[in-house]
Amino acid sequence: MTKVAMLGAVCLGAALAGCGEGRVILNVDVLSFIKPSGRDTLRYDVPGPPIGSVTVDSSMTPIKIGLPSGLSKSSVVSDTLSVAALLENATGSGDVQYRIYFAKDSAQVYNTTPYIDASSGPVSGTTTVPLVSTAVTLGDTVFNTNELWMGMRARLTVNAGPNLSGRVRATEIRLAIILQDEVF
Amino acid sequence: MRTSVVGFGLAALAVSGAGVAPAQGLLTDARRIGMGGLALDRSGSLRRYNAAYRVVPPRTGQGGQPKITIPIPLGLIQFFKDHPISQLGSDPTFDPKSPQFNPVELLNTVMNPPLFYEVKKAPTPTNDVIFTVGIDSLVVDLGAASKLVPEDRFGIGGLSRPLDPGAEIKGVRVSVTGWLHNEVGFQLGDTLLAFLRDAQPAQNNTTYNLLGDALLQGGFAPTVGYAGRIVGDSATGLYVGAALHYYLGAAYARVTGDGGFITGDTIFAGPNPVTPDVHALTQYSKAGNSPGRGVGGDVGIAFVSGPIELGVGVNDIGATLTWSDTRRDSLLYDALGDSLYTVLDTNHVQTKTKLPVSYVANIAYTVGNTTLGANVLDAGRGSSVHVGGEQRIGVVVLRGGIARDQRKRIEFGWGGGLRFGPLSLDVGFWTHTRSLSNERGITMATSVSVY
Repeated sequence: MTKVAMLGAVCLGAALAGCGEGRVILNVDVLSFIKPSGRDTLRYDVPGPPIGSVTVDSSMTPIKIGLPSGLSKSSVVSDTLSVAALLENATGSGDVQYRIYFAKDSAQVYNTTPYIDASSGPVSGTTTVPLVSTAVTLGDTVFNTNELWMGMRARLTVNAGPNLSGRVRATEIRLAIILQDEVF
Repeated sequence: MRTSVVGFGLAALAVSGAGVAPAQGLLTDARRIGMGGLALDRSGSLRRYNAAYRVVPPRTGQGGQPKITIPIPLGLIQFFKDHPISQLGSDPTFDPKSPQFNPVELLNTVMNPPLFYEVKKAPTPTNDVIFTVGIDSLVVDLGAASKLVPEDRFGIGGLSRPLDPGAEIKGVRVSVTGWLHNEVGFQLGDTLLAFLRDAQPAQNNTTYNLLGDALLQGGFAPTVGYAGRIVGDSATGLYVGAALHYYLGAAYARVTGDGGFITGDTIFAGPNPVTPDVHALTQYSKAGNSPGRGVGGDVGIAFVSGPIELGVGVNDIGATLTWSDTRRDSLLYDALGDSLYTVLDTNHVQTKTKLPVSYVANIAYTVGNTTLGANVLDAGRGSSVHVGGEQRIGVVVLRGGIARDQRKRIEFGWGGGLRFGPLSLDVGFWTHTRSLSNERGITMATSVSVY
């Protein structure tokens, strides 16, 4: 028995004891997994091109989200991802696409379609823009796992002129996964 | 790994739930069910647990004792109508791959065999289970089903005597009694109980465990006994009985210990969020080793005076077996190898086991066509109390009773019957808590008795 599975065993025992034909709902505070390492904040400082605009990505190294084990064969009914962040722009102009990714494999995190893609709209100079978005997907097989990888990326479109600098700071990332328990 | 996870969950459920089952027992006689489990005749548990009842004659004036009682399994008819026997293998209720599969329902079926018709089925909890997860937090909210998590020690088991062949001359009986004793029990540790039952958040650097023990032993016992009436006649008499057993244990195994896990500094950080923590001691004497040996006895007394009847019986007094060739192993967890391992503690050592003392006390009173009775029975795992009676009106018999089971739950029984010469058709209703549910179910039992 692996160490990780011990906790999952108790959790699954609990799920079995309680759920009957009911569902298992995982409310995951994703932000708590990335905040201790400071990865809740993406900083950017991109020189503006002489003319036109340029697009640059600022990405977080994917981070693992530990979930109770033993539910990998359960089917996901739905998942709801709620994200709130603050774009704190210091200099320059452009716009920022704030994206959240999930995958079962760390190498695939940024090769998938983002679950959240929130746009700041045009920003210029010192300004703070709240970014709030919620996404609901049905039957997504990414989430019936005990090892979920998450990525966060700011896609920056920098206009000509001074550097676009600032940061995007996540203030809330919550994931609600509804599973139909299938224990065998 | 998957198997062990599922196994853990189901085993925990099975053990916790199975404790419910023997609390009322599986009765097949609608007459007893109609009186809340009380038996008014002088057979069954009275003969098993009171050595004097071997010679107490059947009670007269209430139609005699049936030679045989045959249950009418209306529940099976309903069960196989709902779950066709030709499709049981793929029945969605029992197929783990089916979305309709419900492990609680499955366990309820095992613990509450559908022999009789369920007039009111105890509802299976179907609420959602909510896990709230953060890097350093884990809360499990079982909802209403949390009430099913046992607070006290939970156990099943008992001592049975499946065989007792022998010969009797003038009250003296020489026999060889086969016996089998099994006990399984567990209790959740305080932290695990609070985690599961009260939805308390998991704490850092904390042990979550359950304490468990199991014992299985069996063998046979050459027995010499006596039962006879020492005073009075068949109408008013004092009966005594006693038996001396020389127990020979064929084999036994016992496990005691605790198991669980210890959380780390952070609940979900790092590759090892928790560390298993297992300490157990296994002891066994295999078949073929030197047998366990011990001496114990049964005593019983019964007094019958016209309409009044009293009795007390105690069994397996002083029954301690000494096993001279026992092996003891420690079961531990190896953190480096992430596996369980056993270490020989001692071998060829002497250990002792005990058989539980069981007892029954009963009283019955017959006046006219009414018989009332009560008994207290402890078969080695807590006492149960039954009080009830029956009223005979021509061919009609009305019955009622109340019982307090081993879990101290009150159950009610009622019913009736029709008696036509040597045949009777009886129906009995009995509330029960044999299911994984917070509510009572009601069983309707039907049986035919031949007198």
